[in-house]
Amino acid sequence: MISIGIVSSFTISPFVKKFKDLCANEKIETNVFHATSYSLATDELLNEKSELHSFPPRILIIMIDLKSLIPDLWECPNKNSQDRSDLIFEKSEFLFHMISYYANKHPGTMIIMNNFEVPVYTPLGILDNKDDKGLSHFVRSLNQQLETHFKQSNQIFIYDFDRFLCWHGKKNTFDSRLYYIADMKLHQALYSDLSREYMVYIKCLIGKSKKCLVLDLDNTLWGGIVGEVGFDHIQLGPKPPGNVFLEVQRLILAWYQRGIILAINSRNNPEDIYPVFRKHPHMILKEHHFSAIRINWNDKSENLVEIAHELNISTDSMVFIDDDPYQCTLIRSVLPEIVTLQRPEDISLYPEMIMTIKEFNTLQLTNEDIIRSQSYVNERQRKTLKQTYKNQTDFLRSLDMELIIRKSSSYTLPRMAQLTQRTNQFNLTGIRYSVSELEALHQSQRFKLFSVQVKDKLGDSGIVGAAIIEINKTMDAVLNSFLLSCRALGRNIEQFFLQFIINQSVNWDIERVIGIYQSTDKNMQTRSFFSDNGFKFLMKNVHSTQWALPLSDLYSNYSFPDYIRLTYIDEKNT
Amino acid sequence: MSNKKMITCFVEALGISEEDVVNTLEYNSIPQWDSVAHMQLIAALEEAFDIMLDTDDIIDMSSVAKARQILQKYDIGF
Repeated sequence: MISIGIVSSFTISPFVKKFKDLCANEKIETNVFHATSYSLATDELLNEKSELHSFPPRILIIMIDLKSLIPDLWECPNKNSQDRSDLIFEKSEFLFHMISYYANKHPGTMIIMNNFEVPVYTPLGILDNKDDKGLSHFVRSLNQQLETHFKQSNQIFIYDFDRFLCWHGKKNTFDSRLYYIADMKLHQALYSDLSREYMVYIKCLIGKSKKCLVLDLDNTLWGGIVGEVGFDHIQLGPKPPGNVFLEVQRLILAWYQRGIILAINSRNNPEDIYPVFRKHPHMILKEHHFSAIRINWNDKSENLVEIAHELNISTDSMVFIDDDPYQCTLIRSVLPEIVTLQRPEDISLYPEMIMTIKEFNTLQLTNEDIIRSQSYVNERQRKTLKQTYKNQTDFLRSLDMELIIRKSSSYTLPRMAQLTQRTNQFNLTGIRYSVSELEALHQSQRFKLFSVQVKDKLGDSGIVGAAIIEINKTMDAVLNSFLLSCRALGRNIEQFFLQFIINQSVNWDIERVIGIYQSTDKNMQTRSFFSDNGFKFLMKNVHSTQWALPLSDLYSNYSFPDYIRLTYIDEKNT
Repeated sequence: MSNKKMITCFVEALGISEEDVVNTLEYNSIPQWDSVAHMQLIAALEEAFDIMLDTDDIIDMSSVAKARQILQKYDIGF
């Protein structure tokens, strides 16, 4: 159950209903509270006795429209410049104060604040942009200040509501009858679209972002069937309709660059395909951009399952694009958890379809995102290498691994939060955290947070694991979260990381380390992790088991194998 | 026929029962008939009778009796 608060300065109750319906459709249980009117909105945020303060929601959406903030908007251009800048200062300071006040009191609440609509009308007409008196300039600078003020915040997100209105055309987003009679500032036809915009944040927060884009080839990355028309006649290049595919490839490349894993799933003869990747002058995507490739005559759904297995991700983190309606229908019925998109019949609509895919959004962009795609390629090499060794130890020895374990710092928290949001398989408790929640734990004396980064001779995987430990009143160190990215599995890193924590724990004035396994849909493989590592069974609830390791049982510190280099960084000491 | 259509619009837009839709029922006299519901009622009437109401008429439509009277202006017979 996710609690969501919506405060707005105008009538929004029909929107709230639509929003709840959409959440229900997505099987996201929500409890939505809303307050509508400018005075109610500000009161809810500032008054500590308000419902919003007594029951802080997980997500708070704030929609304040310009006319409520500045009722004499049309007079702004005619004020003298001192009055005008005073007004901007006063209003923006008020907003910053109000939002920060609430945010600081409730670090567990993620805040989404709409920016302001830049009006399409201005009393200055064609002179509006001739000097800094203009109304557009005035509103844009207010928006700019909002963005700048909260740029560094991991808790407060400014939603570009003005861009949303532009996308739909401001003339269509406003219904004058609804506005003047019922104070509804947004046309009802847009409620679903706006709901989907906020849904993006919710899905990121509950770990439902997609990670991998799987593509068909013929009529998906280029026009025509290469096996039939031949290399020279596929449609790809500056001339229509080849220019559409060029644009699509550019859009996909940009996703690769921000860390989306790409894969190919095509029914074809490989010998027809590889020349296109290697020699076609207009191919933007190359073989090395793809982390898994299936070009064969097998069932496409089987290929998808294999790709997921090869990449160590689950099928529900995939988006699949194909032009064939039969294949799309088939995949949708066999693997409904995959978002399957059919290329539009009208080719000119194809780039827009790509641009409106929202599933790849994440709340943070970390260094690991940038290197992710490359690290999957490294992982492919690692698997090949592993087959040449008879046993695991020899393989590990050959890798020349370095583990860098860090005590949490502002540098590692965003990545750690992202790991809790994205890691499903090797995640002992499955608890999701936002950065601001982790920040609160990081500040607390009771919690210890560690991350682990791994490098080996094939490359740097970045920070791939996180552990959150709570020291409780009964002198136990409880592993509230322990997780490792699927890209890092198979190198015993989880075991080394746990042993490191146990070694550290002897300095914490505790008696036992307690491990919790909380079963989720996907973390079966971790259920014996604690018993495999010397913990004793302690107790069992419906969905969880607890395991204990009394420190008195330890004869000496665990010593790491000689083929591992371990570096521990505690930022405070450096 | 038209009367039944109009009553259905009231029932669906305001979420009240058919018996409640009486001539004397007035705008803002019950919590269900607030400004937001009023606009939903307008949308329902416009769709049911395939008309476009003037803003003045929307504001004027302050009771069930008044609604019938205004709809007649748009050539809807009762």
